[in-house]
Amino acid sequence: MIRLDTVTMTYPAGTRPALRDVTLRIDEGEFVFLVGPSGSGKSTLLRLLLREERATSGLVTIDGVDLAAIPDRRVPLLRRTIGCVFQDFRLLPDRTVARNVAFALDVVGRPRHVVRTIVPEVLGLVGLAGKESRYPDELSGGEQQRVAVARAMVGRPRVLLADEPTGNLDPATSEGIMRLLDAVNRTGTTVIMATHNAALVDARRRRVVELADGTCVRDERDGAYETASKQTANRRPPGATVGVG
Amino acid sequence: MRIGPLLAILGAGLRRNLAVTSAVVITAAVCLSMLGAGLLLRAEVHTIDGYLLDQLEVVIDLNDTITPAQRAALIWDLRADPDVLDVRYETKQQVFERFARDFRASPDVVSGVTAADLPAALRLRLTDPRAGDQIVLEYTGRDGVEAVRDQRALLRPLYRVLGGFSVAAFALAAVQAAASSLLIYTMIRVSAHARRRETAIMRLVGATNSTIRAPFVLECALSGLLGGALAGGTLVAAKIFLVDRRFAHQTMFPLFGWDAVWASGGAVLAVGAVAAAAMGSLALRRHLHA
Repeated sequence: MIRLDTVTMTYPAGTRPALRDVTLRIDEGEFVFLVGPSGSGKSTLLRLLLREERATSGLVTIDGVDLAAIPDRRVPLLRRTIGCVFQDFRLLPDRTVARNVAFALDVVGRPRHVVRTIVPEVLGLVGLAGKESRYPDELSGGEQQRVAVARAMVGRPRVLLADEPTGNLDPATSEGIMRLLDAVNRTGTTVIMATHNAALVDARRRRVVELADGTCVRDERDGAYETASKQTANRRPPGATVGVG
Repeated sequence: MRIGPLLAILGAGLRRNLAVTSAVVITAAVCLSMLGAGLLLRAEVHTIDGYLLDQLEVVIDLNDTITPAQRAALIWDLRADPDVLDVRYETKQQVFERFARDFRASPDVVSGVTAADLPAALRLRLTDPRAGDQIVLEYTGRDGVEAVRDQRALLRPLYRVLGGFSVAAFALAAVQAAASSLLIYTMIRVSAHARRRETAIMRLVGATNSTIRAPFVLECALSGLLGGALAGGTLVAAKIFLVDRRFAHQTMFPLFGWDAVWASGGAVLAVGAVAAAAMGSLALRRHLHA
């Protein structure tokens, strides 16, 4: 469904590429952990999928559609098929929980009766029934992230991108959010989650894609959260050692 | 986007930006009042023109020495002239009677003049009363012609004054328009900054560019419209208190009517809304990257 083919991405002001020759294939309904240190290119990869950036070279396609070839005015239609969750929740503080979720439907012109039925339904699914009229600052971090997940899911996207969704949450709450994303994935939604949370990754044993310095250094089914250096050190063939002897 | 959510965003934006929005409304109101005043002054020129034009004539004063043959030739030429609608000959006696009638309020003036003192005249009505200059040039100096007078020329100083005032009003409007534009630019900058989280989310969930921009542009259009409404109110007040209550008693010229006020009011409303929205869209290009 999602394919990256030798994708290199250099930001206009950047001296070295944020992504270098990344080739990746993600099938419909998969759950993928994207790991790697800060600055390794995880966020850039997510931004490419959202068409917030265009690859400098190489091909990014979703369902066979070349994202770079989509004209700017059609980009909103692409984004309606992709949900997003962030570390900082990005809720609107002056709107209630229900209005925050409804916002995603309102601004794409969904009719009122649709908004009125779907929003309570989705809030129920994420475990926020009864908190519709609370404001974000009246909620805990975990609850706020649930609102964000509800907002991302309310448009029934085919892909959910989560950029360190548990970065601001304690372990127990993180586990709750993780379970929620699992549930989203079980409905058939492809989930790509960038994370630094080793415990979550190790507990799940899902597919893990590791980036380091913009290159894809590991792509493992049933993977664990391990550092790139350990992996490369373990796997480096004897002849490939770099250095002067 | 549906109208409800759009209005909610618009309302929130207006509340948040009340101070800058008020400044835009006030400058727009001053600017548009000036524009309206200029338009009304022009309307006044038209009103005077329309009222007086069919009464204005070109008068050819004839020499006392003119022969009947010269006079007949002159009238013949005038009748053949396509610019001339109608030619009437007035004898010295008729000219005197008209003079006596025009100055009936000043018997002293009339008593000092006799019919012999005044020249016989040809009175012309023109197809286009504004083309008097041409006739004056053409017939001045002809045999038996003493002088050619275009009565409309008497109004020129008045027209110059009215024209000058309207130019001044338009110039002030232009200065105010520049100030309004800068304020709208600032309003959009402040507004785009205050709503950056909202617009970022809109973009993320797939709102179109026009949806993201609509509340901003509407905010500008509304400010312009409000400024236009205030300006329209000013024009109406000026018509009631200044024109009808004051000037009407001080001048013998006809004054513009309510139709001119409605036309100018409509114009400032439309200009206010459209120009502000256009300026807002322009500023958005700078401050709201898509």
